[in-house]
Amino acid sequence: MKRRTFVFSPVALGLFSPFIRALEARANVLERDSYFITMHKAQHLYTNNNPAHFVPKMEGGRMVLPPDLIAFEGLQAFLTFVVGLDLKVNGGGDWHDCARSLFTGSANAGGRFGKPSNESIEAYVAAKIGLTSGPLAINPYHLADASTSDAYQPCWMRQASGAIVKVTPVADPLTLWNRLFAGFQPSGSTPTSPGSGAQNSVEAARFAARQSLFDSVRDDIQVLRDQVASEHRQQLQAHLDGFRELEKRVIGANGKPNPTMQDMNRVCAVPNQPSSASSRLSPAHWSTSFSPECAAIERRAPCRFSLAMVTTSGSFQVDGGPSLPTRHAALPATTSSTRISSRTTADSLFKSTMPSRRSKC
Amino acid sequence: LTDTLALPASLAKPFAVFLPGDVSLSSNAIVDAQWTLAESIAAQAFADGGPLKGKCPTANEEDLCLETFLQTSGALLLRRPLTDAERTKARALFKSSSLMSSDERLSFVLRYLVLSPSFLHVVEKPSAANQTVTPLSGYELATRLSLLLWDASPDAMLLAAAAAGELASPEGRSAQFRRMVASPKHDRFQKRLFETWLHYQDIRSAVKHERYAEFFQPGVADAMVVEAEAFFQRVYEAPSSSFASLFTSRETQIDASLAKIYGLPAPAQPKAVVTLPSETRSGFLSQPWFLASKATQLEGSAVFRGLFLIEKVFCIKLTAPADIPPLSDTDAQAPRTQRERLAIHRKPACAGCHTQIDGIGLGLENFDTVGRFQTHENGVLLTGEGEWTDESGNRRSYRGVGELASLIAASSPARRCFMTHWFDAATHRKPTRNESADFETNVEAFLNDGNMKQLVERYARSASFATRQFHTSGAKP
Repeated sequence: MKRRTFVFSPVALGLFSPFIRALEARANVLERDSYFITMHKAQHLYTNNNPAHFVPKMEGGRMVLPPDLIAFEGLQAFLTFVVGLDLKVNGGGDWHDCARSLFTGSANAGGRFGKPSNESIEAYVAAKIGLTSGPLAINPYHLADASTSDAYQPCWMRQASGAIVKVTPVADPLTLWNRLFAGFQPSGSTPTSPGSGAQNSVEAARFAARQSLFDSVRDDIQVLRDQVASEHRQQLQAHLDGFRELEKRVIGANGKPNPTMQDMNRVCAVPNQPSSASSRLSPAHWSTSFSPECAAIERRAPCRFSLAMVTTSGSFQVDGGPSLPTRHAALPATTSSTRISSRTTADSLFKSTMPSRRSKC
Repeated sequence: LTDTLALPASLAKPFAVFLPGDVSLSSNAIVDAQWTLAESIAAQAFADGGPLKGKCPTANEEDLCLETFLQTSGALLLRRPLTDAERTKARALFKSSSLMSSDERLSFVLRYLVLSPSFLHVVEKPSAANQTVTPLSGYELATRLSLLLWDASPDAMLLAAAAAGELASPEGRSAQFRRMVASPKHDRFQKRLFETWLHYQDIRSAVKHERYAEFFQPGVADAMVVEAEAFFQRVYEAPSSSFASLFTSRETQIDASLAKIYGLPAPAQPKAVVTLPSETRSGFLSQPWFLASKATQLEGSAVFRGLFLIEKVFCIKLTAPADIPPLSDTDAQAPRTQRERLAIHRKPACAGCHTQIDGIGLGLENFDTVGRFQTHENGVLLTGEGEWTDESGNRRSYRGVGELASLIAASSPARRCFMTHWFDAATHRKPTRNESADFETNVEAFLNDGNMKQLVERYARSASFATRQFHTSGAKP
């Protein structure tokens, strides 16, 4: 998977202005899985959601992170900020409908007001910067924030083709950890490899059993795929594809570590494996464990992540009554109204900002 | 899984399965989740004190031990007996290497079962004759019944009934239905039904202005959710299982924080069931979780409440105009109440929708942003008067939540709407063509008796419950 990184631009905050520019393209680094992570902060009406808490400032060409993003200090060069989007979609709808139109992980829009939804914005951005979008929704209904309070399992991702794909949310920290880090071998540690003696024999037996396990399950999926009605075959094929990806990671982690990681001479901290007992992903866990050291790794060698913070602000139309008389006072002009009213408009925005050349990270 | 393997309750977390006809694609994430689950289950099952630790300790009884494991736990995990091919693979994994302990080898068998596509996907196979409507097998029926009533896999008794062919008849399914609804596992169904219908968990994301801090204190949203769940369970489990009671029952469970909102003395116990006064309260329409989640930070919203009821209780979709003007308070003569603001707002362009929305929503104007009963707004007496258009198109006036609730409780469109929500919650889909006749029969019966539990049993007994309609041809040749 190819990866690029982009940096925040001073002009990004302007109305109808470009908001992303390329930082650097690094070549001669082997391709590895990377993840494009988006975070959504919404409902800027409330104190903790004031843009001052999470919208960076540019000072002397340097991005100054706000309090909510301080865990990413040192990673500025690897963050993509998309700001200035108004949540309105063409044809109206209220805040909630618009929020649904933007993000994977929110409920499927297009129903209540009968308006077509935009493509999921983070999928759109991922595609624009050359990533294959494999959705990882972390948004079960009861944990959804206010802007996606109608979100419901399973979540939805809207593709450029107009297809709507269900995405099963991940609520379990252990599952998320495995999804992001299983098979990830930080530099400075020795990859698992066959050793010698009796211990090695047992390890070899385990590895063989695991390989046999994957062979058996893969065969079962193929058999079942060919037995079901054709309308369900795509579902089983997708399962098979996902299983092959899993196999690559798990078997690779145990028997065939990626040699490119040995080139790394700094430790990129992997967050501690969380307990699955917790029913809630703790932001503190991730923000404290994902250390700035990763930034150094990013500069040297392939690491695991491309980070993106997708923030939104919008005119919360239903707050127009007397209940919230100062509703817009806290919103700086910089966050107002670039309206994505259609995919065409969004395309034109990106055309003016995205570099045409692609390169490996 | 916990039922099957006697694992600790801490592992009893819901794990989604793909249902027949599910249009979703199996993403990498869910395959990863399945892998994580397999690893976690294997680790805990064979840990010291785990239910499978030392399951097959002696070498000369290993084969019998494995076969017993496959026949019992294996069948429960896959919701059917294993096929010959699956048995062969399981045996091969178990025999893979003598260098590993029997526990470790059996753990690979357990991983194999949990990773099976048949564990993840609920499969209803087409017939060999490629009929579009195919009778379900006994095991497929067992799974359909257990997912419907328990949100879980069939237990051993249900699988035994399937093996004996008892589920093919409506009587056989009724017998299992009666057994299964008596189980605590049936709570999952009614919880899912009411949550997917009314979204009472939304209250958790509500924010109120600090002037309501005394009433909307930390933890009160949790208390509201508990109240909602207890209320729906009580109504659903009652002998009449009455749809009307959802709107008219005044029995509810409160704690001290809710008592303050209801204007009642704090109960002596942490939780108490009380009967609320008929003048001010009626069914879930007057419960704080509903009223406070359909409100702004400062006041109850007739628009939010009316719109929600129109959409959820009457299944009416309203199309909003492109630009909704805010409720104005800048007119020369500033309105003092929400009713007055809405009257201004109902100009011709907005009247089409707002006549319906406000006609219902204003019936709840006596409830503030946290659900307290209020008699005045800015010095103006609140009447709770509204107008309602019945199924015959007649406009009917009512006054207050009690009369509004009674109208809804007796409304045929509301019952018909509930049927669609119920079917969606029960099956995660709409009725197929071969189910539509049975569905309509069930609707007619429900319009008459309004019994929510009997609704479920009639569905389980229906002929179409025992069949599956495929849109396309069957398996690959």
